[in-house]
Amino acid sequence: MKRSQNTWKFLLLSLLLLGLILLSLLWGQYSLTVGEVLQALSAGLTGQGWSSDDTVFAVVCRIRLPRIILACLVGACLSGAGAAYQGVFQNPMAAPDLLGASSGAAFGAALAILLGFSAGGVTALAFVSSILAVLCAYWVGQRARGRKTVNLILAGVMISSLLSAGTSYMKLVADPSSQLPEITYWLMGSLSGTRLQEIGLAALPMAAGAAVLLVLRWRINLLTFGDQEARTLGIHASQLRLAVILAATLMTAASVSVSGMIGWVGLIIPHLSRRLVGNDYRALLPCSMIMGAAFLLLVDDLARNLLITEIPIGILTAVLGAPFFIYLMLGEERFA
Amino acid sequence: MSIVLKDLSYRYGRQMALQGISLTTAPGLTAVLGPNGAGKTTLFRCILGLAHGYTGSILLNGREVRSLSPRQLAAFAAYVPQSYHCVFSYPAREVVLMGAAHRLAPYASPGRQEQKDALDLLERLGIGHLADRSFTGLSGGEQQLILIARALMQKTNILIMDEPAANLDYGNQLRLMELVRRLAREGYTVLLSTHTPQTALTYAGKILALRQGTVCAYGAADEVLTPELVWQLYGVRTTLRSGLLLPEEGFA
Repeated sequence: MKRSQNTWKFLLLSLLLLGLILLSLLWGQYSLTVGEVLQALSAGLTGQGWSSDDTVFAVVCRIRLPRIILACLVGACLSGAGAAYQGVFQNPMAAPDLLGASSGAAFGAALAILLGFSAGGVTALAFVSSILAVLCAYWVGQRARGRKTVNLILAGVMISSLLSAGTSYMKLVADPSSQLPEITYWLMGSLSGTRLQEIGLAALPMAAGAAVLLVLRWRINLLTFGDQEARTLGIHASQLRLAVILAATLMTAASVSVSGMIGWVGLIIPHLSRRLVGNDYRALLPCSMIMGAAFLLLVDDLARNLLITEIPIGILTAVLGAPFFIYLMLGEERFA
Repeated sequence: MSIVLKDLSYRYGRQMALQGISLTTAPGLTAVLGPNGAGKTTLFRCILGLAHGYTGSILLNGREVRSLSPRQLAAFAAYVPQSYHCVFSYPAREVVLMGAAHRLAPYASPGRQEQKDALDLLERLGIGHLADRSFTGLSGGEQQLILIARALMQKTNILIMDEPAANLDYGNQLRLMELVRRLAREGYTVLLSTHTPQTALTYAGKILALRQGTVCAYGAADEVLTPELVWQLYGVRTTLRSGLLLPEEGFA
């Protein structure tokens, strides 16, 4: 009975996502009809029936589609990673940047910009330093005595604040006419200027992380009971936690290194999904990922269409996210 | 099908929590008695593989605990915690299903067979109607029954229960202990700690009395549990009349 209810919910969510994708293809500065969009898409798939100076084709396949794909990937990854982190840390307030993934990426990006790297170099260094930050926090948290989850969270907070200090310093010494705006803009997060090759690179770690999480998702449930109880049920808690953290971190690092700092998605969407399908990760994880994709796509549509100049998406997710989270907290149901 | 302890010792820092414990349990209910800090919980943690670095040996079904993986341990001994707190709530049937974790491959989730087993188990314990209720919304007594169902789902022959009746009202205590008695008669080896000697006397086949980390007495309940033992363990005077331990007036 429960299962068929969830099937319906998943079907509706997938339809919603599909509808949003179509809407995103249509909606923009350059207006298009459904027919034009479909024609351009089929031309892009078959490689026939378009010329290189065809504006419609360029808008659909080179500008809007890559951006839509990236929004969906980043939304799905941040939400999935957030849901996983919440389970692993037995903490409903856990977000994917808990162990320093975001501040690590910010640090790496700022450093790369300061050193005059190309756009690709900025993404690469952001990715690497994001992973390093999390590994660092994990190493510290693992070596500290006492409750592992609390130590990990504390280590993450420390590493994050250390890296934020470094980022602030780099903003101070950056060239205020060229580098500083670039760093600031990167930190606010944006999906504009996405190219297909970039997506190909980011999609690899994202897919790897997501595959691991999806495979382990039932077991994440057992971690929410605490290490000792999980152990008496036959789970090697610290190994499982490490696997989940690594997978979630790959997804988060790949996301923030291509999109910049986009907060709130990884916190709100898992909560919303818990309301919708319950806490069982078998349904929660896929639901979070679909909803995250739909949410970020919608927010990105607003980001590029609401005002004449584009609003950085990180600002919009916070503006939409925080009040919505407060609404959830004050709602009828028991919150945390 | 038993637990064999040989010269088991465990220390927290300088504090000896268990000292030279040697015994062999038998199928049936063994009640573990002892004042606070006597080592009951430490003993359970050692048997469950949660306390590393014990000396001596603990054999579960003939295998040394320290050489077993969590997965193997979970197939030998199941644990029923005293109380349960989880930040996220699950339906009761999902909680029971988690008992199957050690039988499933690391990448697998429970299938139809496990789902059916879990529901059958709930029916068998007479709590089938709780299957779809949220675990955190259940009463203390109902939660305890679900946790026992989860332990049975592990399909072990050893059950370790840490004061399962501690937070229950009188009716639920009796219902719980009746269930434990039934399981003991079905052949489970149940190790259950309790703060109530009367519970041990009424339900247990054997009694293990711990004091300051050592075995104070171990044997058949009706032989071992005497007013002298109660005095040794708790420092209070009682008399035993037709299977009832009654406090003596004016001992304090």
